[in-house]
Amino acid sequence: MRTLVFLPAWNEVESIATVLAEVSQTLPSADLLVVDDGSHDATARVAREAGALVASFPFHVGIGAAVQTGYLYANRHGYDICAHLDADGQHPARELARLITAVESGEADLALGSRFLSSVETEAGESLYRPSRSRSVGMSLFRFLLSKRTGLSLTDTTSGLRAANRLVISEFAEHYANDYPELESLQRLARRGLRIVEYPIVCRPRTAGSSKLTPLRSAHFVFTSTLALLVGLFPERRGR
Amino acid sequence: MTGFVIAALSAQTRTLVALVGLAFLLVLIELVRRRRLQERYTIAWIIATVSLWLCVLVPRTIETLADLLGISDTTAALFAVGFFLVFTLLLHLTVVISRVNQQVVRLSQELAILRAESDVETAHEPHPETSATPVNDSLQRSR
Repeated sequence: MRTLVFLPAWNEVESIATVLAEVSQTLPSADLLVVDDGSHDATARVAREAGALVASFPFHVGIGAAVQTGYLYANRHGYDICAHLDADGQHPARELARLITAVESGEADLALGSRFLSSVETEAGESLYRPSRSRSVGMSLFRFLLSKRTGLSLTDTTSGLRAANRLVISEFAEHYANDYPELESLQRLARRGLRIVEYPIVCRPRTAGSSKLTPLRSAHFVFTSTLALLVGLFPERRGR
Repeated sequence: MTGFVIAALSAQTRTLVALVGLAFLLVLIELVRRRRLQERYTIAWIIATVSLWLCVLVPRTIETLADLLGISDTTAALFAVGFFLVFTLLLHLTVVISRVNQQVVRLSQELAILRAESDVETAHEPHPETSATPVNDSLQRSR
């Protein structure tokens, strides 16, 4: 099966080379694509030197459009599996490999890495994910909204570690929200009858850079995602 | 105090609103003539101007409207109409902006994909050791 692994990256010059090396070592047969979302640093150059294909945006467009670009590329080039992970180094490549195996075996149409399901013993340098209180309140709200009408009960709805088969690739290539698409995309897939399965993963603390989620962005995230989920509860209406 | 008696618009207000509306239409036409404004976006403005004209040139309209809204002062009713029109126009504009934004995003996605695809092409060039430099890239691609 042809597999594409892509990394949405925005100013991740410090970690991108390490992550790419780790992925190509763990998944030697997969093609690597970095979606450079208008980075001001040398992310694109470093990624190209590391042997990845680079889809570079002329300006910053946001995580949704960046992730969709990966799916668009996979769709146009006929990949059977498309997987992505964050470029900041928090997702170990072997966890991605497990998700890819799950999709290959037909267990799931979309495999998600969950930071909460994990009962795995923490290894040195790896820590179990512990969200702040305000964050966990938000996450329960999302879990509740997402379970309505879809019957999905997911623990980690905003995970950036995913592997998808062709059905999901063509769906995401067509529809993927721009701002904060994580939740809405799951809702849409579930309502289309596609199988979403979570797998426990252990994340590392980020190796470089800082979180892009400021308080203001978090508020925006909660607002847009809630609105999108509420709108998604209604029957779909196709526009022009 | 006035109860159900509706105070009519003064002649001064009516003339002023009609004239401002006219000036506005002229500016609109001039903008279209200079191609600074597309015809399709003038429709909303023309509807707004004509509605205001209707209110001041046929006083019965605004008086009936004021009565329906329970406003005794027609001037206030005129303001209400103006506000409603402005809000509708703003909503229309944000719809337009959303569409334009979607188009920009899709274009930039296409550009990003093309850039990645041109990476693939250069990777398959016959001279891999020279294709690493951008200068040679552009020469080789013009084969």
